[in-house]
Amino acid sequence: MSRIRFRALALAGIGAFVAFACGGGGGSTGQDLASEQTLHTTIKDDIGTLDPGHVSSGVDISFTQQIFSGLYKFDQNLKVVPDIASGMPDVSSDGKTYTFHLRKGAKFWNGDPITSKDFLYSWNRTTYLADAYSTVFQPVVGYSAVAPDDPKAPKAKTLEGLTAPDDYTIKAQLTDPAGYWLTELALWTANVVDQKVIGDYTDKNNQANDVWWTKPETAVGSGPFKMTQRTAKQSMEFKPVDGWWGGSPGSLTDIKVDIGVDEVSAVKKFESGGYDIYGFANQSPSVDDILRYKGDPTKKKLLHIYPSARSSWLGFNFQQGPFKGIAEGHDGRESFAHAIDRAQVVDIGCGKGATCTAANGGLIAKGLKGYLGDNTDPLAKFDAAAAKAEYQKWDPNGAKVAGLKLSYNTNAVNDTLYGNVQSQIRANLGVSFALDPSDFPSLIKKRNAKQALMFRDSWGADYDHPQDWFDNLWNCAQAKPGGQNSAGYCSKPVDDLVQKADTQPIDQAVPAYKQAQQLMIKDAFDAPLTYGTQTYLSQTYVSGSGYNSLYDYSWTGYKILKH
Amino acid sequence: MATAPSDYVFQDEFTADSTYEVGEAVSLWKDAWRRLTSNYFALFGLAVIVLLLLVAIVSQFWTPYPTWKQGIGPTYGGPSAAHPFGLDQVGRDILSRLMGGAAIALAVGLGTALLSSVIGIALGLLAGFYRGWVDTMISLLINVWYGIPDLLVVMLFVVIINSRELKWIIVAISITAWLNMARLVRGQTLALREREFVEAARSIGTRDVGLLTRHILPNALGPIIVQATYLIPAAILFEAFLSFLGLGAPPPEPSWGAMCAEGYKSLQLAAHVTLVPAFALAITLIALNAFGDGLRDALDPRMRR
Amino acid sequence: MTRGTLLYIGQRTLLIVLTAFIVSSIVFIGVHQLPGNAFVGERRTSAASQQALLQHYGLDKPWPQQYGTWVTGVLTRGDLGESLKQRGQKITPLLLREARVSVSLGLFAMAFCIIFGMGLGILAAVKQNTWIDYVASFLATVGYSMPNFVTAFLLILLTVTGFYAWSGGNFYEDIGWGKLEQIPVPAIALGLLPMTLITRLTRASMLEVIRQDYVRTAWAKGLRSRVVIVRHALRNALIPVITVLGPITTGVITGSVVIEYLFGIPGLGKEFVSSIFQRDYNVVIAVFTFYAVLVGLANLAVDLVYPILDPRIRY
Repeated sequence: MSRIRFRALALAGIGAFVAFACGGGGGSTGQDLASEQTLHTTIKDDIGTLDPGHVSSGVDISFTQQIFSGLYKFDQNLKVVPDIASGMPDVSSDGKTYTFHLRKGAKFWNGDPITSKDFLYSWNRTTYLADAYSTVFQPVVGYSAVAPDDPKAPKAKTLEGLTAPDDYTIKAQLTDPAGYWLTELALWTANVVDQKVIGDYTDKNNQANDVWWTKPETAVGSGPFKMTQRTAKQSMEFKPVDGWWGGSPGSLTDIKVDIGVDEVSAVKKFESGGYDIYGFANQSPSVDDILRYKGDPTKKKLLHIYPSARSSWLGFNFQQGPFKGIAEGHDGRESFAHAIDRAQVVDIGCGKGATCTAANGGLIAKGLKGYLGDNTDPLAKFDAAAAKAEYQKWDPNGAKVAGLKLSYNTNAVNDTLYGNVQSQIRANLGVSFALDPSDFPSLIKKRNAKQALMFRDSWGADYDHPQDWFDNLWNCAQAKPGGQNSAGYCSKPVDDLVQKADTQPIDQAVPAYKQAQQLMIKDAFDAPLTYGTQTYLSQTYVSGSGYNSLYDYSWTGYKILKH
Repeated sequence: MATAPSDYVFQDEFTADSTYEVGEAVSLWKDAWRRLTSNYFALFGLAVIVLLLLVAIVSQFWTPYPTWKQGIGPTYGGPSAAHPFGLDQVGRDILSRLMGGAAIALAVGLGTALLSSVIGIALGLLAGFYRGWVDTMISLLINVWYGIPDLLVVMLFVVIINSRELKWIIVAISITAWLNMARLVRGQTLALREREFVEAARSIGTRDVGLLTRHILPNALGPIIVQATYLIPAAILFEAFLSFLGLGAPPPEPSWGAMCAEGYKSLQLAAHVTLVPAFALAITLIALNAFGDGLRDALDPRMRR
Repeated sequence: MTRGTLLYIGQRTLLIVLTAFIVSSIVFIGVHQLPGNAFVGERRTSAASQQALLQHYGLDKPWPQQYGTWVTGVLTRGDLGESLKQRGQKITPLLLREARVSVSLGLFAMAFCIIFGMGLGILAAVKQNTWIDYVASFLATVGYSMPNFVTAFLLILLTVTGFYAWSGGNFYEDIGWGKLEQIPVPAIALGLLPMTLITRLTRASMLEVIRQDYVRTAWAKGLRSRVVIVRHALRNALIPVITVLGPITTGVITGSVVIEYLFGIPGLGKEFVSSIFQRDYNVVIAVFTFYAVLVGLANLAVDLVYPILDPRIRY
């Protein structure tokens, strides 16, 4: 197959296969498939892990989701649907007991059958490993015994609240009702792993517990695909599972992933036909390449920009510095928020809107439950004159903001974005402050210690539920030193609303979450900046690729059309 | 030689044994000046350096537009009457940033040359004058240090310090840049300490400090100046490397290396964003090296072409 | 091999070992001022799980003990440790693979700079004061002050944009590593600066030889003698080139950091940059030490080649 030749053909105008638009996918029925169903793509940095018990970065999630599965999964519209479960769980009237029923016949690719015992093992293991997402099991009775916060406390090996009445039933007892728990169970964190391969997770000398995912022979999952080759920082290969329990794994026969190719080279290679898609696993072409594609009528058809559930905002410290105090610092925060023209942010900071969109509907990103609606956030309004007047009233001689710094983690995108924020505030308010770029760990430490006075704050949703934002970022518990509430913002009315909403089913809870966010806006919590986007480049002959604002589409829907 | 400032390793080989006696000094400097001014390439270098200095000073008080201001015109805008070098990826005026960058380059170049010369001269004097175990230790340090790629040392230093302020960049570059100076001064001192005029001074009871500062150092000044001159372009180049890798002067400082790094992904889209600072960097380095070569030839008659 | 040579090799080897030891311990101490930084992510993890990670990597122990364990591992098993970012990933096989890439790039760059540098130098000397000489001297002077990434920009513009458009995309497949056609551009970008140095040196020493009377006479006699002379002069011209091979090797190794980063070549240099940015300190220590040893060995190799090419040199 000559990929170079294809390029010439594409230029000659065979773009007729553009059957899928943004968010489309599918739609390929009746079209001829190419004889070779191999997908080539690339990622810049190697994956960190494929172990569902450890996975937390976007790149890792994308691959983990293809080779593992759990009781539930998200469909393309982010709705929770059964996977290995035979249906939705039976929930007791007090909302504290969940009973799950498993499908019969589910098995790992190595043939080991999947029973409720495997789920208990996997969930207990994940909790015991206590990595970033183990909090998925926080609602379950006995969580703090298995994952205590104190490093010196003894650790239990299993969650008391989890039981398996028989091979195909799981019972979970929660300490309090948690309306968001079912959504969390659809995360990779709750996927099932093979205990026969991994062994005792409490044994420090059990090497397999660490390295099992690195080798194709032992990277055993129950998803439609399996890893067949891996050379660290060089390449990975995946193939569909023969006789997969869930039915047909689709038409792809091979997925080849190069590792370590930077975005500029990757796009070059995409252009010469070396890659079929680019953008899978949170890869982004450079802004300049996106602009180049946008400006070229032929290339434009290969470019797909999807919304991504990430918000970025300029955060202020409520505990110390000039913006301290909900009432005291209010006018200062508000004037900063109003001094930023989001149109310029998007134009310059995001490469003419190539890498993000203006955040004007609240902190929770567009497309997610809890989004307030387009142009509903008064903090996102730009009014330079009013902002300057308000600022000068608040800080007439500039004493308050003397020595102020904007802390952020440095990379090409952030340097541009926060450089623009700095430029605008300086031009519109006459406030000149320094940028304080550091690495990500330093920023996190500084923010969590509440030492950053003005900072980049950002959150990418883990799942489509406002609880993910409020409980991780904006409640009083996280406002203590070390907590993730970088602003140190603590408002009792907000906390009360959220605590109640957390126990309710999602439909009832959303209005309360929205109300809580309105209160935060009234307090001039932040200067909203941007919502994220995910860019895909895909050749006209690739069908079924895409991104649903949180995750990549499953490879099961991919097809390589004749070309 | 190549690529990184480790490459300026062997300038000292040309100057290592050129020493003069006090009596020759006056005519020597005059002679040197005459030779320097008859070297057109060195004069070109000098002219560029003077221009650079002027631009750097002016940029502290005036630039056509503020160097930090974004969105002055269309992003990636090409050269025009209002913006002779065009606009960069965020709509900043490249000419203004180029001017600001001259100040950064000179600050880093001069700062590093000064700091690393002080370190190098001090260690070189100590090693050459006291010999024995002092010399052994210092020479060992130099030899070990030579075996480590300097760019890596500086990158690691910047990361550990976790600050990209200019003063730390200067310190970072200086901790690797003093080697050649130390080696040179050590060689000079070893030779000079045996000379009659040093012996004479010692016999009338001059202390070590006096011997070093009043007799040995002034006589080694020529080669030291030449070596220090070479340190400037080396440091500028180094800062550009650091900035290019994202570890140099913090944004929005208009460091030339950072300007190259910000623009290189758009080489196909708007080459001027990268090429303008790249050429400024190259011309500056050419000028400084040309001047250094001229100075070396002028101060060391034996190396005359 | 004489006793002196052996002694020299022994001394140099000792220096390499000492350097490796000092480098690794300094980097070790420096890097361990920041334990745990590699484990900080967007989502907060409990103090207990942070502690568990530190324990897994032995980072909770005092650094002399950690260093002892590491050195023992390196010496007994050749084990450079485990990546902080990829739990379960051993570093040694990774570095060995990447070193092969870096060394091949370095050798290409060296070959380029020696062959073209000497060629240009000889040409400039033989055609002294003609336009060839002026062009060569100008190139040498300019190239000597050209940062390698600027050279790389120009080459990329020329090949990727220029030739790419001209040939309809068939000339230049992609930047990266593995295929023969991917080698020249980064190798030239890396080798240009040392090449200019060699050009300058070769020209100067060739001129010295050519100026001698018997050479002038022979030159005047005709083409056959000229060939003889060029060959004779070449041998003399080689000597100053050899003396700078050591520093050039170091320079090429250092320069490869930027070039590999810029061209996305999966070698040691790129690994160093990316591990520094990812705060994967175990990899940083390993690459750093590896580089120190590599530079030491390369310089030793160059030193051992000297006496073969120039019999006057003895150790």
